[in-house]
Amino acid sequence: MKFVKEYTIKRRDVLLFSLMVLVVTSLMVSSCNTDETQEVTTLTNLTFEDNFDVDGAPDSTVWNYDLGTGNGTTAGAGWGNNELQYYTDRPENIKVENGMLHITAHQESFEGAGYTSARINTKGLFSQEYGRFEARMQLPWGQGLWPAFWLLGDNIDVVSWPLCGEIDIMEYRGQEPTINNGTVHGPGYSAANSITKQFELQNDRFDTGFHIFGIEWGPNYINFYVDDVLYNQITPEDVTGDWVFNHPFYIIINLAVGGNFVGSPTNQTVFPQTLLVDYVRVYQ
Amino acid sequence: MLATIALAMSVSCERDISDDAVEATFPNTAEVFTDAPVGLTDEFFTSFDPASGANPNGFGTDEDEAFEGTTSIRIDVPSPNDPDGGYIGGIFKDRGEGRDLSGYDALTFWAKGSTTATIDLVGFGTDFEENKYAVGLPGITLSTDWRKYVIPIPDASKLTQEKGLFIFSAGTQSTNGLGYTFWIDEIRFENLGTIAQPRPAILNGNDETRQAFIGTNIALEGLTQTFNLASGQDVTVNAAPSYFEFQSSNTGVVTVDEAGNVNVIGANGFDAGGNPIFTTVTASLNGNMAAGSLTIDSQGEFTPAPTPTRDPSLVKSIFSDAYTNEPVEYYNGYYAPFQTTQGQNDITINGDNIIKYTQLNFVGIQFSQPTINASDMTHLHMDLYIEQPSPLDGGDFLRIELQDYGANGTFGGGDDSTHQLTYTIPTLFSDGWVSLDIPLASFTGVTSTANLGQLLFISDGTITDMLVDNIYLYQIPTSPTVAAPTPTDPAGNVISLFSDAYTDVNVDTWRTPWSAAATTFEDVTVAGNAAKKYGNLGFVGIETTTNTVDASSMTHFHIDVWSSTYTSFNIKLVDFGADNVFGGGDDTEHEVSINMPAQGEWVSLDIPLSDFTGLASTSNIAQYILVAQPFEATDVFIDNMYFRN
Repeated sequence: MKFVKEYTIKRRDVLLFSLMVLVVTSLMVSSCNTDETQEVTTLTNLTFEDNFDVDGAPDSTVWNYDLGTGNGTTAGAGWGNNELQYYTDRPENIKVENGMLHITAHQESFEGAGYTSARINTKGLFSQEYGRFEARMQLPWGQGLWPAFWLLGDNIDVVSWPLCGEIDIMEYRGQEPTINNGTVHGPGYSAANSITKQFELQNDRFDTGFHIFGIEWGPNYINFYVDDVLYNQITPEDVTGDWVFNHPFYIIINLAVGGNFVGSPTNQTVFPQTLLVDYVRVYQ
Repeated sequence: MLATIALAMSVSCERDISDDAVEATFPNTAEVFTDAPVGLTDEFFTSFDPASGANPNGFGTDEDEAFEGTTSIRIDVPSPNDPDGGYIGGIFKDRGEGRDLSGYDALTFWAKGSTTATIDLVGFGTDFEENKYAVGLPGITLSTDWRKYVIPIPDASKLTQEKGLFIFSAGTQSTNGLGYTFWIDEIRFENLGTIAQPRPAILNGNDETRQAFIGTNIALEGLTQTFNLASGQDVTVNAAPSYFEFQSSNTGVVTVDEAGNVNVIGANGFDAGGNPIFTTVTASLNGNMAAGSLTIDSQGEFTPAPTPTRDPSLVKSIFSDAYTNEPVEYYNGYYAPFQTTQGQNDITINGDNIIKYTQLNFVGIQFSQPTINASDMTHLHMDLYIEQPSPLDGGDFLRIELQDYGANGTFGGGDDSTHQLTYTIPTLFSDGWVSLDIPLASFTGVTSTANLGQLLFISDGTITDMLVDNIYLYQIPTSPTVAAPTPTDPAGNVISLFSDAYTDVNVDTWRTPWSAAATTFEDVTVAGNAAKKYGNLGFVGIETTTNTVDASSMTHFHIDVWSSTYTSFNIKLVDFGADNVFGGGDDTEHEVSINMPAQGEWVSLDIPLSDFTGLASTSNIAQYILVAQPFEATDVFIDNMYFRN
């Protein structure tokens, strides 16, 4: 199956999303034409696809599990972020059902942790240099929920992080239900110094419906988009260190609970919370 | 201008629905107030009733303050002692037939305050008509700069013709009584698209189980809708029952109407094992199941508390349908932080208002504005119904505490006095009415009863579920103030010795010389009705020796008695036998004793003659001996002394 999508932006969306008063006059001329497009994506040659169409555990030929609390790994405590969950491969935490991947965070006492959830990756099973990486997802909500769809350089075991590079396509705080964060990490610009931009949905939220989160990545650029809105481009000029995005990266999808980025859940946070993934697709 | 263009362009692409499909709808105007009221009544602010303390004078518009444009609404919140009213509040009402708000998801406005006060309530849906879809957001905190506030609509599809466009209520609880000003601007309904994650609740999300009876009516409370906003914050509004759909798990036992009134119409069913099946009331709002439920354990038919019979002129009532109650501030003070007790005067059973406490550990009823002067009262009455699946045991207790607030009439101040009385089994029992008549004098620590302010029940959790009815103070006078009940037995079935209702037979004496020396006899009138008074009754003889009474065709001896102090009352009948004279070996007699007759009210004794077991014959009754304790120290009044069948 080949997936091709032409992203178009109607004039009214441009009006809503930009504040460029100067173009009003020209817009009024052809207000309803839809053939004037913002070029969001250009790559259409499908190289990886999981539509999560087979109920059960995720396809083990493309997905590995990260298990446990991350304590004792090279990443550091709580997967390097002081996250609070214990990752499992139990169906309560991760399953494919009704055409969706469900990653569900529970509040429960488990192996010394107060929460459980799941994290999967394609390390050693799929990686790619450049291309278009996108996923269609509905996100959880509430203080302390931290889902992410992201890429790591597959040379991480050789050069370690952040030299391997990291691209966060979707990263979101449950207490900011309208905001996606698109970020790159590399040497000299990692963690709090990463290069990032927020995209805020207008009159909508990420936890009430599905949205497409993607990047188009080529030599010396990474374009970030949500649905049909290209909201950021990062190039070597934007980063405060070496450009480390000229080698293959693999995919990670996870739902963390608590941690430095998001803060801990409160007693107002509703559990369980589920990250729904309709598909993950990569194009070249 | 730019905004207008953008709006025009965005609609220009929409496909119009055909004229055939156009429905008759009400206008969907979003704005309520911008620089002026939009589509509101000419006097667009309708104050709460000044009789409730609302101050109608502090409302106006201000051309020197605005979030946008030129003008905002200015509200001057009065101090509690303002002669024109101690708080301010009211509604904005649509000028026409109402608006269709079904396309919006929130009412929003901007506000700022002269100080960071807390506004008691903002909302919409109150129209001073049905208030059918009233919504209230309690306790918003003002900033001293403009801040936007969002009141989510619990279910906008209900609001197709809404007239209540804004409500607010503000006092000075958060400012220690200091008046302040706040401004409101840009009140409008919006479709934010970010009002999400609805979580409705009834009973504030609690799952409660309550014992009830056929006829019990409970109004569901704690009806809320919670949304998550774009800010990530949850906002909980109080929502009128009409937003909810209510369900009963067994409509043959419990019904719920649209207003959230729960009515118990049947008794528990039983499963195959003989265990009762309770009925659960749940609710949903716009398809979302509400948290919280009310489970009813219906005990079936209800026996109400005995109807009070005290003379209303001698009663000061705290809670009773039989009397006019004194002003009571609350029947549950919900004292923080240690009180667990829930419930108050919020249920009725067959129209009878009843206090129902659950999770009782302690609870206070306060009546301090003003305090009750009970210095002319002698007793405290209450009826208690302890609901408990198993009988009470020796560890279960109820302490009743009475507090007098002293001459200053307020709690504290060093002049309060209080006393607790502890009740246990067998005085207390479960699943039946316990009627207590407590002499005020037994609250020995209460040094004055001129400023009674509070009544408390304390069980420390040993008794958790209790109905309370007919709490009143009363005075037992030293003589009756009302006449004895008029007899209803047909005259043809009666041989009367003394009654205005019948023709009396001849009585030789109402006090024989051999009566107790201290006992006096007097014909008296009680409320225009003849009665007989025995002062310092020890024992008194009454004789019909000239014409003994042939009561052989009678079945009962009747007498109405009244005393404010007696603790027992005995009646002895003496029959002279076939020789019809005293002595002769054929006289027989029997004495019946009434222990602890009710004091201070007429007690109608109607005693089967068969109870006088020692009385071999009733054909020649000649003597009637009345005895009371404490001996020669209690006054007893009698009336309507007769035989009947």
